[in-house]
Amino acid sequence: MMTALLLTGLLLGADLYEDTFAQANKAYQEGRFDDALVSYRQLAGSDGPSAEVYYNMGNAQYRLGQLGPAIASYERALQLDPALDEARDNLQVAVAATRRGLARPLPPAWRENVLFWDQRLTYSQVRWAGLLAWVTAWALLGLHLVRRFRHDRTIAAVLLVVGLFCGLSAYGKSHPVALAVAAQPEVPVRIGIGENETTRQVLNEGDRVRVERSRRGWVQVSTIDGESGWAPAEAFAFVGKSPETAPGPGST
Amino acid sequence: MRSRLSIAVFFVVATVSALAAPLRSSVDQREMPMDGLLIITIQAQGTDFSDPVFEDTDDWRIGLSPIQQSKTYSVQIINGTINRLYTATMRFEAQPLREGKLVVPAVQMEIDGKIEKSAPIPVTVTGAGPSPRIGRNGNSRANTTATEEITFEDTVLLETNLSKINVFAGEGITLTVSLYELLHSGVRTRSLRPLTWPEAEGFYKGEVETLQEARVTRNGHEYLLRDFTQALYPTRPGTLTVGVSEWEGEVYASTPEGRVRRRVLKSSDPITLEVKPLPPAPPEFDGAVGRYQLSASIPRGTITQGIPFDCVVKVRGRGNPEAIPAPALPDLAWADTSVPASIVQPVGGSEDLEKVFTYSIVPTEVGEQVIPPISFTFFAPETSSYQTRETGPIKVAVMKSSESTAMVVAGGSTGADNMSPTGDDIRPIRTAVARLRPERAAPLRDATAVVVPPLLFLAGFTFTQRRRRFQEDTSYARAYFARSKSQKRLRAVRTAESPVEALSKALAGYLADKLDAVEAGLTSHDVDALLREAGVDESTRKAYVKVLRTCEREQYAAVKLRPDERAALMDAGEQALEDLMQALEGTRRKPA
Repeated sequence: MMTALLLTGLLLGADLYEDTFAQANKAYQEGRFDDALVSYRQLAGSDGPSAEVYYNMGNAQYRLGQLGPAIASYERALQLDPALDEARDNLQVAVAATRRGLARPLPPAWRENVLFWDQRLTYSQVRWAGLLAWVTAWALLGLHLVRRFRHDRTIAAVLLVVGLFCGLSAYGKSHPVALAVAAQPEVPVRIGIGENETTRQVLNEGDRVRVERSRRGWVQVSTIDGESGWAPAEAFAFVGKSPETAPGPGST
Repeated sequence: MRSRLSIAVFFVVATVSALAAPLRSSVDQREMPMDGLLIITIQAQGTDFSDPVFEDTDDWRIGLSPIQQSKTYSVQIINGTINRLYTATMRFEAQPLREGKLVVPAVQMEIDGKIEKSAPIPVTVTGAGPSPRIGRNGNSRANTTATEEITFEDTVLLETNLSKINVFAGEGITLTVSLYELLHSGVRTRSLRPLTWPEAEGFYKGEVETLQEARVTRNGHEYLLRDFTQALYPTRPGTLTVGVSEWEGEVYASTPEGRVRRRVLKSSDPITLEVKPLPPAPPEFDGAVGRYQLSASIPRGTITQGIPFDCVVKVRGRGNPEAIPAPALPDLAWADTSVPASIVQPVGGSEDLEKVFTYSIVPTEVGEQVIPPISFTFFAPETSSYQTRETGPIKVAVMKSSESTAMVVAGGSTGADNMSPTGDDIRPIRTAVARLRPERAAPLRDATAVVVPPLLFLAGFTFTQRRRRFQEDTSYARAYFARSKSQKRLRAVRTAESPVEALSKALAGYLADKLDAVEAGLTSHDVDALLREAGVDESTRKAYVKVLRTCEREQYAAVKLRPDERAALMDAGEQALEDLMQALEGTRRKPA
């Protein structure tokens, strides 16, 4: 009985999700971008939205002139699905519309050097590939104990390496570089926490920064050119969740 | 007598009053012809003046600003105080608008904070008299053969001309207005208002241009000629008229009667022209009439897929630039094109104009491409025929973009995404999604999938290694299974047919397995030696050997043990075995 109720609830929830998405799209196509954005935000705040939800939300924000939030939404969509070309194209358009067209902060060097191959793979894809390679490798090694065949250990070793790299990639994708996008026309970045601190630089709407840490409603951010400082968290649109919770694809 | 005296006193008082008044006005003549000019002089005394304002009148046209003004001052010392007194003099021109007894209106000024008003002045205006003769030209540089005297009518001449009066619709013609002003030592001319330009309804009009002034001789008199030109393009066939031009001014001349000033109004004659319709036009004609050349070019350098480049088409020649349409760019299957932007610019050193059309082309396909010939059709009045100019084909090598995600601008998108705040279009939303919710992460499942396989492998590895060792190393296998084997034997002792013999075999068998000795024929003496060799402690060894000897005596003696003695022997045997197992834990006799 409980199982049936649970299943019914899950099914109903899924239908509600689909309906809200369809409603939001309809509002967007009718030019009611405000209404569409409300619905997309509702979906984005739910459990595990897809990249398309963030992409559509980015479009609605762009139409409403909210350049910073639009860029953040496109970035999030690309984190969830790097192969979503529409998000990549629209991100280019939105970034081109910013004052400086500041590039995205670079990921750590090890990520760039070691994981250069996973640019267009999703978290799910690398995860499944890694698990498959890992299990297959151990299965081959176990088989080797019983019955040996040619190059079985070599193949197993290769699969183990593949599994390790895929695991690393999956970890990286589930723990992406914390990004934020300036959501106000001008965001002063100061050398310390507080409005009285000296301004180190001023960000413009749409500038993307890396979030280093957060404290008392302020975030320490750094740009691609290495400049860092503190700014109020409310001045940013965060890619994924806010700094207090770690962003991750399909995180629960 | 008394009345005459009163009148005299009145005039004296009036004169003194007038002379003392801070504001006075006067005229240069009390009688004048209709075409003459009146000079009104206003004199004000004080330290602070406003601008003079004439009262409204329908009889005179008075100039808005004085033709001459001056200011002088005098110093007065009154009761020891030094005061400066200013006198401002202003002269205005006035033209009578009718004949008869007119009154020059009073003028008001604020002088030193007080409103002062002059007296109106009567003037009689008569009809225009004969134009006085100016006399022979006294200028020694002029043509001395001229004997004809000059009149005021000859001082200014105004003419209009058209370059052609029989034209096609759309064909350009030039309207020229020529103003001649007499160069004479005794004559001075001044225009009162700008030259009135002829009306030209039914024409498209270009800008009015002023040509350089020139000195010309006409009827033996020297004139300063100024030509003004304007391009006209008739917009429809039929009879069209170019209106009159007017010049109004004043002429100052020395005549035998003295210095004379006259107002002069000159008008040109209207010009009528016949505009012919164009002959039947080919379908590609789009309104251009004139004489043109066509060229097209693209920039040098690399042309890359997805990156716009300009194709510049120039139409150069003579004709109405507004009537030159953008030459149609042929459809390009390999690119998207935009509506062109256009500018008109002069061509240095000639009367031609150049209309430049710039098309933005975005290549969508890579490879060797061609812009087909571009054509332009116009009507040439000189030959009364339509002519077509055509550019040659332009080869374009489109390189592949190095950016895989380079945007390719494609027109024709539909829906609400057509417009964007920044002018760049974004791609539309996704409505059909294969999986609306992505797969959730399951850490426990992942951890299980990662940890369990190596553990299973480890277990399997360990198992196979041990099994192989058992197969390859019998002494190890005997020692490994000695304990379990002996315990199994012990359990079977009490129910065996010959319990004492079974006990003896169990004890001897355990030691043989443990120390890898031959079990068959192993006596208590041999066991004792083995135990000594294995280093077992004396008490355990003696107990073990004692049990074995008791078993041997039982086997070979005639008197058997009683049941209680046998039971005690079983217990002792189990204890001795247990003690020996503990003593030998980890001990194995080295193979010989």
